[in-house]
Amino acid sequence: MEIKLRYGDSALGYIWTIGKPMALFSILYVVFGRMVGGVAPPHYALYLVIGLMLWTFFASGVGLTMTSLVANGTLLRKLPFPRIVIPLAASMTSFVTFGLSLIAIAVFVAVNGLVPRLNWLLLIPLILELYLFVLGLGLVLGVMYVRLRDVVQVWDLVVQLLFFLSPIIYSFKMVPPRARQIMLLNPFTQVMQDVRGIIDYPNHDVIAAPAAFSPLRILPLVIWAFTLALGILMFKHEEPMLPERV
Amino acid sequence: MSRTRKTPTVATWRSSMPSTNSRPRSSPNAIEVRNLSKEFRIPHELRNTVREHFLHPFERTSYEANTVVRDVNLSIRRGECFGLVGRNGSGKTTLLKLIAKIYRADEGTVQVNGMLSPFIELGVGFNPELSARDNIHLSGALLGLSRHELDERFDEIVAFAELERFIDQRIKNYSSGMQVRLAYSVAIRAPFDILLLDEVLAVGDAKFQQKCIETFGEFRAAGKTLILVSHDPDVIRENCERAVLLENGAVVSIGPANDIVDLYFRREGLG
Repeated sequence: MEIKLRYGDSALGYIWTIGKPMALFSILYVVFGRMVGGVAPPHYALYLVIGLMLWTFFASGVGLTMTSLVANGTLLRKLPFPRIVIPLAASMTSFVTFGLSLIAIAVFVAVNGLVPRLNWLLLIPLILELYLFVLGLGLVLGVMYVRLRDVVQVWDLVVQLLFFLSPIIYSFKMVPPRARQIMLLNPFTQVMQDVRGIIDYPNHDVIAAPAAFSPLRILPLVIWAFTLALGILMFKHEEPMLPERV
Repeated sequence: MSRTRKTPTVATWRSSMPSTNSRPRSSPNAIEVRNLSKEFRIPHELRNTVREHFLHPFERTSYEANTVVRDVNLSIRRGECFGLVGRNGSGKTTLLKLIAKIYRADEGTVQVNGMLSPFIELGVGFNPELSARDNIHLSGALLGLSRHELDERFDEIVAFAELERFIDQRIKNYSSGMQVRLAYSVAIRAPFDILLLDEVLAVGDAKFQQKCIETFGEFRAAGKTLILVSHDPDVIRENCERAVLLENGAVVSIGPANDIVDLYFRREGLG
């Protein structure tokens, strides 16, 4: 596995992996920081940087995983090996990149004078949840992409829509409660809001503790599990045919 | 292990290999192919985008079944060098891919007794954007070498391919001959009992061809099984005991390599 990671790493420059979301952060912070002015969530810089870093991991992770099978078609056609290695390596590459961006988040945490608490350990299962969601969605779309090359175009569009339909740059409280419930169906939004809530508790309390057993807590997990299971099943089904279809 | 040698012998790197003798001794054959068939469905109009499906929603894609491997039966003995002969498109590479379990058979079975190292379609699937060094690590890992074994054999791989000067260059800047040299060098250092070689001598220079042929001899001496695809009649004659002639995916004849090559040339009107 470590070798596959290395292979992925050399294709990306380390600097860009943090540089790009940080550049986006600067622009958004300057523009939206003023626009949302009064209604901006407290610690807006931290709020924004957490959102953007998680978003970058989600969007690029799904994108990379989705295209990995077709991109490695030559390999699939020439060597026998467990095919799952390819989407796993692609998603892990994004994950490692995300790990680096945690440094940026740590800086903002420190600047805001936040001290780590014990419940920050909850971040680990949350990040794992997001990783498995990226993998599951990447597998679903990746198997579709092998058969239908338009999937990438559609996904690009969906990503742009989702960016604005998720409370990444704006406060979740600006959204009407009804729409909030729909937005929270997306496991990505659930993870992002939980991460913000845990790191900066009283300021960004979301749905973390109080609503522990409400449908809002369960539904994203149901969708998450469904996506992951569907991805694995679709991949298992397609696996023997991959070398002749990619 | 001697690192200074230009051409490491089988014995030097085999000694560091995990024993592969745990396989069942009951079957004397390295490969058993029974009633094997494979067809590719070729759509008459390739519809790969939504637009095309949208433009002709009711028109069902008609397929043409192209049988590439047709009811093939083969037994390849352990320690044998076996040749695959036939025209372009006669199913040689597809048969190799079925044996390597890259393709799934439509009908029939393939039984492989022992570890297999494939060298198919002039390579082991290098990524052109990566350096030779990274590619060796990637392919080596996928061929079943542990990181430790890879580190140990890395110098040998590079030395055999004679690419020390270019090891940090990207594969896309390699000539096709250099790529094949490197790919072969990686493939033969993976642990194997059976080696599938698809046109390994086609693009290498004279010296590399000579080195390859020498390694064939070493593998034979070590009891390895070789399956060789080549369009060079002399390569088949001189290295293989038996061979098969394929035509349109079907077996025409199996027999001594010399006879099969003669038959092939006669049927092509060249003999």
